[in-house]
Amino acid sequence: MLRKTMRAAILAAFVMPAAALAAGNDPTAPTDTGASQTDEQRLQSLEQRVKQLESAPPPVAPPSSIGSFNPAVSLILSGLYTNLSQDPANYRITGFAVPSDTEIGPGSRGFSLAESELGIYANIDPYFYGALNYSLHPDDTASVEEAFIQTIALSNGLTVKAGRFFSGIGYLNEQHAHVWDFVDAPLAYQAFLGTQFGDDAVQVRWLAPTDTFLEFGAELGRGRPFPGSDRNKNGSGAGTVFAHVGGDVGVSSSWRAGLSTLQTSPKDRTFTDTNIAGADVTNSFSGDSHLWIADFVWKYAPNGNPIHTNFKLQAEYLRRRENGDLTYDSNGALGATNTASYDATQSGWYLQGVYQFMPYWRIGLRTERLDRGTVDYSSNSANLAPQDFNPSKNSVMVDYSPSEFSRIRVQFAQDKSRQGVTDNQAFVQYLMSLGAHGAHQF
Amino acid sequence: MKTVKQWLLLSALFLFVVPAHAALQVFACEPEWGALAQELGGDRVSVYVATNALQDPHQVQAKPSLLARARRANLVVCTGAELEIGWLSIVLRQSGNDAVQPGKPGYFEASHYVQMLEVPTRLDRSAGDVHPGGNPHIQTDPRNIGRVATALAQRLGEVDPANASFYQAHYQDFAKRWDAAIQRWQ
Repeated sequence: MLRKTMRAAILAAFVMPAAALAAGNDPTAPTDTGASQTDEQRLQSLEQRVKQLESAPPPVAPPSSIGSFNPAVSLILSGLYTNLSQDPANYRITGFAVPSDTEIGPGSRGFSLAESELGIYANIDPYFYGALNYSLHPDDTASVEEAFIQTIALSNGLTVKAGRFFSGIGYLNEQHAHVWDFVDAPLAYQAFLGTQFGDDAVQVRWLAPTDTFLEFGAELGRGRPFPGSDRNKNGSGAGTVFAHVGGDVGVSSSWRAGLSTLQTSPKDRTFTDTNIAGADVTNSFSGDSHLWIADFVWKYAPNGNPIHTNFKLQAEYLRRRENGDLTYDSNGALGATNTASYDATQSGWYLQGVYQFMPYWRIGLRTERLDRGTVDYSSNSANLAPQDFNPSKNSVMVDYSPSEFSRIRVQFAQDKSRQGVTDNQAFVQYLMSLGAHGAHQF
Repeated sequence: MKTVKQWLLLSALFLFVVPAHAALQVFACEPEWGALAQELGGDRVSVYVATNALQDPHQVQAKPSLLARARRANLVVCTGAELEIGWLSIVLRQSGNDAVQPGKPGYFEASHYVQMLEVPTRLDRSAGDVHPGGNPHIQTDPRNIGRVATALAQRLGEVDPANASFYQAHYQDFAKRWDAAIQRWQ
């Protein structure tokens, strides 16, 4: 024991002064003048050992990470200045009524906070990953945007997710607002999904063992958010199925295409509409809602290096069929309550391109349109009639990102969501992220 | 009934035959590690390199092709030290492949086996995108390549024990040539 300590001490005595000597010669260091034969031998063997130690790979020092044990925390700060030529209080998408608690439209005029978001995430153990996204709204309310767990220990391409999360349908639906290329969501997303569909659900994904990306997914959920409605029942209220395929073309291009469906069965989904006489009326719908989405995205960067220039083309087509019963004047405010069958097929699309023409600077164009389709009100047609109008909108944006963590954006849009009215919109927005490094989703 | 059976058979083929490859599937985050894995693994490995030399390995997205390749990988060889922070964690998490998750033998981080330089004492993004683990550009020191090779050869043998001696033999050969090259460069 003593010998061991001695040897360690001698070794330390040899190694440590090496550092001190490098800094400068120490005049007080004892000099060994009467070295005996055995000392010489020991010195030699020690020198050899030091040499050995020096040539060996250095000791493993695990790189410290942001959250050695604490979860990673990220905060998105976002603010807006909005200038609207039309009063946002009257905002509606003509022919596409959504429940009043569904937030659509350009928001409020003037200065406002946009959605700020707090994210906390980490691997829970070798089997699960967990994440929370808490959204702070400008009106001093907060909501759980996402809170889910996800498996990381399954093999054969399987992943299971449970909790509240943005559904895997479409392309844009899964993305948080701060990674959108425009200030607002496309009209089709607002009209058919109430901006974004995030439900309390269970999701299963399977990635095929092929070189071409091929993924299938399905979800069963509560079905509370629009186009569903909350219900007091066991089982599920919403189901989705989606398939994605994608890959690279050469080194410069990558793409992904998808097909998804969302099935919900809303009950007494109440919304405000306008009747033939032009008066506001409260209606409610019960029945089945089937939404289909086809999405495509193509990204180009010379040699796969997006730093200088890159281009992104993105398009989605949404088609919805709702059939069931529509109750006209469901709250009896007009004293004309009537329930009749209802069958409507409507659709919408957007197409957008975003081009980074020089480092830090991007320009984007988006064009979109909704098709009123066919609406059969049955006996309610005495009071309700589909308007002869297809909403449309065009937007242009320019943004500047001085670093990976900050972005400032200007956007102009001509919004023709309301029949006979053109809303000229201008936005200035900042988006900043602090804390844990964000993910580069495709 | 017959068609159902045929379908089932086809699905089974799809599920079990396609992933069965003889060679060890290596997913390398950067070309340097791809070349090293190829050198050590010879014909016993099939190497997929996730990024090319003209890309900044930090500015990569979790694109579909990466997910598809990570799903079938037996060994992921990356730099670590947050170089691939923007995309690798998502790719691995969504790959549905437990063998290559961090902490498993199928996940190899080169920066664990070298002395990291420029480890910051102050973490603040006013200094840019600082890497808490130190400068991740470890491949610019040829001595580091030798250190990573030692560890990688060992790891290859761990993941694919049947060929462990093959990897060691290749490593011995590589180490000799690499040391000679370093002597020449010095």
